[in-house]
Amino acid sequence: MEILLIIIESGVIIILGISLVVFVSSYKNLLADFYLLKEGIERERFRRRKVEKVEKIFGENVKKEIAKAGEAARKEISGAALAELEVFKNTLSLKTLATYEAVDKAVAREFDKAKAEIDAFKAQKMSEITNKAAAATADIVKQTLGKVIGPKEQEELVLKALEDAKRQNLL
Amino acid sequence: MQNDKIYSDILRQIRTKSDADELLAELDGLSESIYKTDPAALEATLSTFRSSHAAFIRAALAGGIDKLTLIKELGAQVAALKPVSLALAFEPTEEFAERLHEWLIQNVGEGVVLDFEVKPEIIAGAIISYNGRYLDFSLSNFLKTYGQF
Repeated sequence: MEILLIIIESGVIIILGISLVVFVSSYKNLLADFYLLKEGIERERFRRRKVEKVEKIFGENVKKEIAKAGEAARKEISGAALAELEVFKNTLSLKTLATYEAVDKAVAREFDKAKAEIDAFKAQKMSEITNKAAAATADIVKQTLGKVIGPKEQEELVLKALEDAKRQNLL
Repeated sequence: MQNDKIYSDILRQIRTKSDADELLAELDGLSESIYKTDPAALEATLSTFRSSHAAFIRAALAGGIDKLTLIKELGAQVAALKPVSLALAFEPTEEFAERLHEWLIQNVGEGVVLDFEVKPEIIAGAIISYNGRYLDFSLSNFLKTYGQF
């Protein structure tokens, strides 16, 4: 019985020993895994910080470059635009001048034409007025003379006309 | 023509172109009754003529000139009268027309008649045409020339 007990105790002790060995071995493995994990986490944290730092620096640089490029582009665009604007202004000035000259010539032509028409109209009207005045005067003179010259004088003037016609060899 | 002296009496009475045209028309009328022997028919025709013309024709026929000769010879002499065209400012009286005709006979000769045209616009004087020529002796022409009308 004792032997059995001893055997059982020995068996238990062996089992416990084995278990302890297994436990310790497992603990060691676990601990090693823990350290590995911890190291990995630390490494990851470090890498992340590094990345964040790089990202920050890169971002700042990018911002700076963008700002620089923006400024350069703005300057370039402004310069080009000003140059274009200057060209446009010059062209516009030339065109405006040409247009002004063309308009000026056209206006001058129209003015000359209108003036000529007005002068012709004036001359025509003056001529008409002069003719009408002359005709009216002539009518008055004729009517007056016709009344003033009596029948005897009329007859004498006709006879005088015949005498003149004879002198001029018409008769 | 042997009857010229006879005709000259009536031709002196023809003072104007209208007188001449009237006598030619009368001679035309007489030619229509040329073969009528009835004196009443001749008288009927002559009664439509100007009295001085009818009297001359009666005298000429009574003097022995036959109707046909009278019509032909007198018609030819009347047609040969040369018109002196006178544009006047007034209607001439018979007396003045006679005075003008006398002046023409004395200064131009027989064989001319007056052709009057009344143009009041000439005011006074006359425009005279003869033989295709004309001269303007009107007062209106004088004013036009010297008075610028």
